[in-house]
Amino acid sequence: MRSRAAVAALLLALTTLALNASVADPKYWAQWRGPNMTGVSRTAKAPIEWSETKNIKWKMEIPGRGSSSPVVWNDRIFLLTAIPVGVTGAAQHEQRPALGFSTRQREAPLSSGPDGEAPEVFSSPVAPTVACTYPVVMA
Amino acid sequence: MTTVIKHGTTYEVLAENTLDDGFDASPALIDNEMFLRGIRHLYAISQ
Repeated sequence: MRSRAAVAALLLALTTLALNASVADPKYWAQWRGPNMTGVSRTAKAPIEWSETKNIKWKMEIPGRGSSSPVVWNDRIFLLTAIPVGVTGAAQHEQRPALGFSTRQREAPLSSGPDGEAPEVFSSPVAPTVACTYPVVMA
Repeated sequence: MTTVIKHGTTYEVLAENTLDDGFDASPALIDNEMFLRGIRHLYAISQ
């Protein structure tokens, strides 16, 4: 429990840093639900209507599975996805969490982080949304 | 399906938008763009 509490405190501090960097700047959606964690942007003007054939700038396939929300830091978009690695065990252990990123300007394959051991997890390994503050992404 | 409602004191539906994917993630809004993460695709939505 002690270590878990320490981790929670660390995450809170890092989130505060991200908030300070992003509150007033429209180029950042650095954490889950945006700069104020309300899901509200005071500057963005997204389309009201869209479909597969209307107002889609680009669409790219995401390998693996996951439900973490995308975050934006300047030109980069970050999200998490779990990519199967073929190891045996409980279903949720067969996927390697990967940090993917893309750019805002174009459709491109997701790049992923380094290979690693699949950690022990009790739900989706990549449900939480990452947070950004220069020069790191926290996952 | 995403329902777009007007911000205000009365409930007013502005649009109902459908994409060929399922969505659990919350959108990211920047400039004139919105990024939607579906089960299979990442969408950049912009006029």
